[in-house]
Amino acid sequence: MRTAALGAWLAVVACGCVGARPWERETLAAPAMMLEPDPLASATLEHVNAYREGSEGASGGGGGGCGCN
Amino acid sequence: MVSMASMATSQPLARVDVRSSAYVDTDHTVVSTSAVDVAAHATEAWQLRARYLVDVVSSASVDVVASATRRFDMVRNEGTAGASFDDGTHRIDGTYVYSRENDWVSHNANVGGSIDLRDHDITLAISGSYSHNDVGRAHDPNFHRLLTYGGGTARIVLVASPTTLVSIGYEYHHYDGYQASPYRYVRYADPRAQIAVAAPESTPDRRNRHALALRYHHALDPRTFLRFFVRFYGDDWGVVSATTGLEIERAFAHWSIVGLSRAYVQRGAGFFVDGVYPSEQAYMTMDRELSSFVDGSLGTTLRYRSQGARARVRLELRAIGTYYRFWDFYRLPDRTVVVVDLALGVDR
Repeated sequence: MRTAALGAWLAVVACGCVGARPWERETLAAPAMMLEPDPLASATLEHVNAYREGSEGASGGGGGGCGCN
Repeated sequence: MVSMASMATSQPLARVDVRSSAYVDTDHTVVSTSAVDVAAHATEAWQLRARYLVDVVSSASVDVVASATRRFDMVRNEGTAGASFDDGTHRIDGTYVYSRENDWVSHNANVGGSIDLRDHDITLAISGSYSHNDVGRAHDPNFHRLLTYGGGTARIVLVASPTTLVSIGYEYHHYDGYQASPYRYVRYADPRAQIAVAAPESTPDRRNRHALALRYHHALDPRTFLRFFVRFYGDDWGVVSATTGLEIERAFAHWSIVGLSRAYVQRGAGFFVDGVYPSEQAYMTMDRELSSFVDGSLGTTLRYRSQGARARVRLELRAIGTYYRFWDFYRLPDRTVVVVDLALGVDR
């Protein structure tokens, strides 16, 4: 938790010096720059990984039952 | 800022996505998944979503053979309904997921919100979730167990430059209830009988899980994009893992091609033993996902987007191969997985 807070603080500090003006956001608006451009594609892949590895979380996705108990 | 990016590309009034995927592995398991996802704007700010997904699983994995059944076939149905509000600066999102299969029924709820600060250069997001699961056992109407879990996420997304996005996220989940498999048995040495005795696996009822992830998206030029991801995970069962991924996308007029790679390394749970437990323990498991292993993936995605006057069509073909190397699971030293997806989407 302490590491997360430190990372977030560092990121905010770093962002204080940079950013993008509204007219500079064309590249940021590209579908390839979106954090989750296709939620359905991400969810299906997350489902495969979550139930074949012992860890999960912090990477988006979700779902219902295990399907593999 | 994330929503601003999507608004800048002119949000569609309605969207339909259909996806079908096939999973095949060398452990004799085949899973086919089909899903349809629909979203429509009720107003400019409010969007309603629904999704239906069906998994068909056929397996003769070493897990299944260990539970005295040669092969099982299973169908899982999942329905999702959600609504979101987005005014360009504030977002609120709620989702309910119902999932049912022959031996598992689950109800999941998730709510979240985010706000953009500093002219959309910073987005702060939080969310919370709760899941209620009724676990059963096929052909055993007397077997009922309960599993609940809940947790939350906190994420900050930053526009680091006109070509760079950075996201840092933390996620916590607390699990409470039955987390073993009703089909899996372990063996332990019984000094009185001087033989190995089989017993149902047992795991702690509670599990606290933490994950911290960093994402870095950078445009090398207006048509070439790099996406990097790293995640660290730990829980109080002793599982510790690190995940990293790298994708490079090259866009053309209507097409784009993505090369992707992913690597994962895990230290297993503290109570996992490879083979026969030396004596009867409070917690014993033969779950290979709780063992120590590494896996690595390579894949590619081919995308097509048409830009019609009234509707936009999206096509996607994705293929990913993954190799797992289990360090201390004697029944299965390695496994190779291939997942192929085909998706079609229409925006209006």
